[in-house]
Amino acid sequence: MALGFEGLITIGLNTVLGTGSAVPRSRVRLESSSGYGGKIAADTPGDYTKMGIGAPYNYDWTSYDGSLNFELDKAVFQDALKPWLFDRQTSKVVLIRSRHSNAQQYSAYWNSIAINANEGAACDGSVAFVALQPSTSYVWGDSYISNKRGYSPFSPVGCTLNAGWPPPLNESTTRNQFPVPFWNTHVMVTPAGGSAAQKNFINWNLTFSQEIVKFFGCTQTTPSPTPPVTIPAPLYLAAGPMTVTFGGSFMEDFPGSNAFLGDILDELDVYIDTIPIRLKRLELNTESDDLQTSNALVPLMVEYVAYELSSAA
Amino acid sequence: MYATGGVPPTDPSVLLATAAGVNLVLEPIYSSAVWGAGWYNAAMSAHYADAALRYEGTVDVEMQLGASGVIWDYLAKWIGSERAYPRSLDISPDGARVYQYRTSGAYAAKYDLYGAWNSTAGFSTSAGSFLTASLGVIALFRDEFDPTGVANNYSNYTYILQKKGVIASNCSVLSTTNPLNPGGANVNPIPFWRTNAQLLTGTWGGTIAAAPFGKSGFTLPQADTQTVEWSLDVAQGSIWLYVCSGSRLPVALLQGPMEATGNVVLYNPEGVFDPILGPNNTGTITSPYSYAENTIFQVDIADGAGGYVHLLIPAAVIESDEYGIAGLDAVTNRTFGIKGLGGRCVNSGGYTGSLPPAIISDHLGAYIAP
Repeated sequence: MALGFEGLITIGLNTVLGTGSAVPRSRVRLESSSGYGGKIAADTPGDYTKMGIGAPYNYDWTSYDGSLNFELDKAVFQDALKPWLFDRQTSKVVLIRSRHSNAQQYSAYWNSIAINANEGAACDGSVAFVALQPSTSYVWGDSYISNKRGYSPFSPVGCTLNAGWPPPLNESTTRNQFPVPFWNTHVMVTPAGGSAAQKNFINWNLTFSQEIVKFFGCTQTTPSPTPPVTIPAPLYLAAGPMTVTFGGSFMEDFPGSNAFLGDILDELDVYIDTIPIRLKRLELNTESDDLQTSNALVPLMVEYVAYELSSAA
Repeated sequence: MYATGGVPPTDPSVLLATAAGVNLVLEPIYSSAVWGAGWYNAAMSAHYADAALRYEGTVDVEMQLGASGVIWDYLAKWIGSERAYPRSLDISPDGARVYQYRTSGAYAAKYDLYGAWNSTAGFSTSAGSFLTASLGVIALFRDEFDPTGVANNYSNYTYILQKKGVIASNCSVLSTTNPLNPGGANVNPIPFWRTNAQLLTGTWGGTIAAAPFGKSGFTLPQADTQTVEWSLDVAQGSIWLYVCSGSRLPVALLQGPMEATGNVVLYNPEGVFDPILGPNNTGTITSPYSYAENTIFQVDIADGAGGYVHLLIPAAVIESDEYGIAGLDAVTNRTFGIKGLGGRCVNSGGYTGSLPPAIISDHLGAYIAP
């Protein structure tokens, strides 16, 4: 028994401002589509197993595909997420604690990283990942009433902030970085052959995705007849091509005949506080200029696909 | 209230209650299904089931320290340092029927479904008033007895037979209410002028981390600022755990994240400072004068014997600012709405870690470690 405030998420060395997680242990069944002579009804005692409920099956490697949700802070973007994009075939340790002293730890390979900014809110983000199996044993954790102090972000000596923890209270040296509010981001757009200019985005989203593929082999493993069955582990894990999309809504005034940004952009820089990430060779997916309700802003909405990525603006 | 938990609890004190409405919450679950009625006998519902049970309400009191600070300490632990645990409380609306909300063991040791939890606490005062508190009470079980505490002879306590009253008929019990302003100390109850609430700016650290009520490192933003009135509200975020168990009763009560908010009305002959610009226009919109890391809200209440008890929001965000023309015959004050945050570290009383968004001292003014 626990309440949500007991939870905690760390990605690598960074404790993030977690808002949710989902890592179901999913037992993947290999189901047969063959006929097997089942009965339509069990008319006599002892015949129940002959009724046609489900299909013949076996088990495959258990899946631990999961996701994390968080409010974005500067440190986790700078030290964890951004480097991970450029080292995308490697895993990071993801530790989820749903209650005090609970431990659900994985060596995680990301297959989606998304960052969003919306007017009036802190930036948020999510990471979806693939993990072959927990990297440590699952630990249930403490009881509610035993968890008096929780995990302190401070060291027991001197009340100094522990490394990797987001500093609370919006302190002066890290103001508006933990979390980063929407207004502490900005987007610089360089049209094809043009020069960079800041655009007034009222919301934007940046999504990176890649497929993490597990390769299994026919390894002649002999499964046990009852769970837990012995299943061969994947032989290889590989990251497929990455897709990068940027979408958002921006406002323009007196822009001339065409306010849109263009079908081709040379570069688009997204700054999280002072930390940039540069998208290059962008091509338009969609653009729209839609009618809105009477008291709503009328933005232009665009979505681009990028074909190059750079860590520096 | 009972200062000492146990079965039965001991060391009772009488609170100066001005209202107490802790009531059975029934809320039957009505069926909205149709059942073939005609226009004459059509009813919104004919079928219903009982809902889960709980007792919920508030007790409004004029705050007092009580003898040896016993009432203050009871409330400080109930609201703050031991808020996950229930405490024992009796309420009688009429002097005939006494409802007992009692724990099944010692305080802060027995965590089960017996006793009364605090759900909210709203402290406030203003000129001409006492410091008052509206205390939210939630409970799962209660027992009903006559004032003897063991029987149901309510007929002995009808209006006409209540010549001396339940409390006033016993001088030793009456004395626990501290009548007649003992010692002239003015803390039973506490008048507004015994309190002093200040919004302070400075640096948390050094000795204040070890003695959170010391205000070390913090000063008044503006000399001669006076506090006209203030309030401090705590909400415990209490959550009943109802499960499909075949029983009407929940299986647990858990205290959620604490929310602390407040208001303070300030006066200064020069006008009250702007929370962004500060008293000397040193702040900017990107580097405001007041922010949670450098702001605390502390209430000091003189105990009449040279000491103080305290309420503290250790990290205060000013979340609203009202400064308008007050009218022909009104003093022009500035009202700040305050929200308390967690994230202040303290190293005191064997406890090192984050503080909740509001803390209450013991009757001696000391920090109560959880």
